Amino acid sequence: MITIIQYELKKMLIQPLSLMLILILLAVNGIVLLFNSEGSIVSRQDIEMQRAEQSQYAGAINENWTTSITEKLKSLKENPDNLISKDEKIKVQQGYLQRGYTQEYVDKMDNTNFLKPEILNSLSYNILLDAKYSSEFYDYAQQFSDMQGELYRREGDGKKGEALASKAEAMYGYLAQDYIAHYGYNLGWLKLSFMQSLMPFIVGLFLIVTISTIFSKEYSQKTDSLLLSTKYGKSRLIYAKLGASFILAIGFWITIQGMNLLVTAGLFGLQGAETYVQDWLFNNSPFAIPQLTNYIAVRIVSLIGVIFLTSIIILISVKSKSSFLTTVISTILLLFPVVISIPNVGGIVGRFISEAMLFMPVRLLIATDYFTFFRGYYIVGKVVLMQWVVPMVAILLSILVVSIAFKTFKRHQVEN
Amino acid sequence: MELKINKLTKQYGNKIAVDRFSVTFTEGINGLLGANGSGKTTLMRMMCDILRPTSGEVLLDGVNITTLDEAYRELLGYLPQNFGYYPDFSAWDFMLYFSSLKGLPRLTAENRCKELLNMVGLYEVRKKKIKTYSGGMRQRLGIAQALINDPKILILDEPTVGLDPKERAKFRNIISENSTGKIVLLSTHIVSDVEYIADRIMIMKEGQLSQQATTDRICDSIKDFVWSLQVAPNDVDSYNSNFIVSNLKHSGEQVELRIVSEERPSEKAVNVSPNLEDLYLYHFKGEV
Repeated sequence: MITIIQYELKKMLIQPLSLMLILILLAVNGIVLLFNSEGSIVSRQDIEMQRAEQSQYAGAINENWTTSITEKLKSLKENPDNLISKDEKIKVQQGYLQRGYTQEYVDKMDNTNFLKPEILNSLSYNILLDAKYSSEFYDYAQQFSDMQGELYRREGDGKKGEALASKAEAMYGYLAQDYIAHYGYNLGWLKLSFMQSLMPFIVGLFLIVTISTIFSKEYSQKTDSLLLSTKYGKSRLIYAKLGASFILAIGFWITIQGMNLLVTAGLFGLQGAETYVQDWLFNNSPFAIPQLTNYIAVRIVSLIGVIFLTSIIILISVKSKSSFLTTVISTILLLFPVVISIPNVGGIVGRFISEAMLFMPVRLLIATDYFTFFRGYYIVGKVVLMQWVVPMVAILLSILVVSIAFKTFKRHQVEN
Repeated sequence: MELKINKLTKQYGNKIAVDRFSVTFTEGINGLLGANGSGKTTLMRMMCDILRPTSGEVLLDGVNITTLDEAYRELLGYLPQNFGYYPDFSAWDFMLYFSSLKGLPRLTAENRCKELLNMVGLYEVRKKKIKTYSGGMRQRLGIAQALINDPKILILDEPTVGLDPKERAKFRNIISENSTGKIVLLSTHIVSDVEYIADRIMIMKEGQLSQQATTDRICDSIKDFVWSLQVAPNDVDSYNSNFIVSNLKHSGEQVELRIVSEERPSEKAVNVSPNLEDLYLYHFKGEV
């Protein structure tokens, strides 16, 4: 069996295209790791400065911490050395008046509008602002609790709406009242989260190119008649093909995850594992989990996504008679949810599309956005979170799909 | 050991590729002659359990081969027509891969592969990629893989395609040497492939078994239908259009024709002993 698996792996990797693709994808992944969001190479010096600045304010977000931040910010804004001259101040005020702001508004403007440009753009000021924003963590959580409760009571019908509302309120309420969020430098964890968005183009593309030939090539190369007439051609061979596919998929995924972790740890560091994940803009996670736990949860779901994606590719390969067709169909089906934006459709159709997208293998492969919002399903009188339902469904579908693929090849008739 | 084909039929829509084919194989070399599209490949695929028949069955010692499953395929060696290969594999990889699929342990497999590659003359180039091989080399590799598990049932579909006369002669010797105690079924267009080594010949036409007999008796059915005569060169075209001319040889100012015909083609024609080629032409005259 091991020998057969080895040869199946060899078949997938021996093609020059596969080897070239591995190198290209690893290079692309590496390049993205080394570049920042502005498109320039990450500077160790900048990272160190940010780490030093943010570490000053590292700690649990509580009343004392919040007070300290507020006072520091106030002190900065009231320091005359940080403010523009009187003449410049008048110019700024006149500018606001010309834009239509009232005199009353202009008179009440605080010193934020009169800080010197070098202060406004300074790292220390921006970090302080970031910390100030973080100090409102519990307020935002409470707001979300109220908003979600209202939303589900309004949109849901009867018991369902009430159950979902209560669940959302409970989760966000916990964040608002009982959870202790931590602030600190966590650039490494944010980078790791960002790298997940590349998974479809790195891991997904690799799997589509290499695994799509696992069965379809036997048809197109006419080796199916030889294989199926051997002793193990209808049993061990199929297990070996499936095994080799999953070994390759998980192996490459682990390689990319390992590469990301190592480079990020080396460049950015892994400080801030205990810091909170919510930014209350793009990430409204109802989960009271810090960066490290979030990282692990995302990887578990991403791994399930790799398995699900591999299963679908295998099924397409076994059903298709052509390697090229398998690759094209796999690419379209699996990558379109990330490459093409689905138009906003209202009503039941829109909701169906929105729900269906959650179950797409490529979304599972990315996984980060599963933990950024509240979504629950009302099943048999209970609220089950989407974050449990989607992976379970993916696992069950993977098992089903692999079983179908097994039987399809086993029953394949050589007719041409 | 007995391999029985019992009213085997394969139908695709309105087309019947194999039509109630029944025959019993025992140990020995069986030649299967038939024109393109006569159903030989379809028959062989059903015998290899890679194509489900529409009706009928293949029985090994009374048990359906589908029921036997792995136990049947363990005894089987198969070389399909236009067999596929992995271009980037070496011959050595290819043989070891199929050895593992046929259930040979690693050490046994290596020794067996070495032996077979030597036998077909590919051992020296075993590490080269198959895509660099000529057609004849690939065919020899195909023959080698069919023999890996020392099969008790060997099914070869057009095995000598791409082989030159010397290689075909070597192939005949390999089959003869390796056929003791085995059921060998060999389909071919090349009559000489089976003429000298087959114990029994079957003629397959339009999916049906048209004729079968031992090699020395198969031609009895046309013993009165093969003629030899000498004609003037100007008359050759006329005979070509009206009769099956199996051979034409210039002999001085005359041309010696060998004709297959139920009717005497000419008063000067002399009845001669038929050979397998005459028989093939007689059966497939419509397709010639």
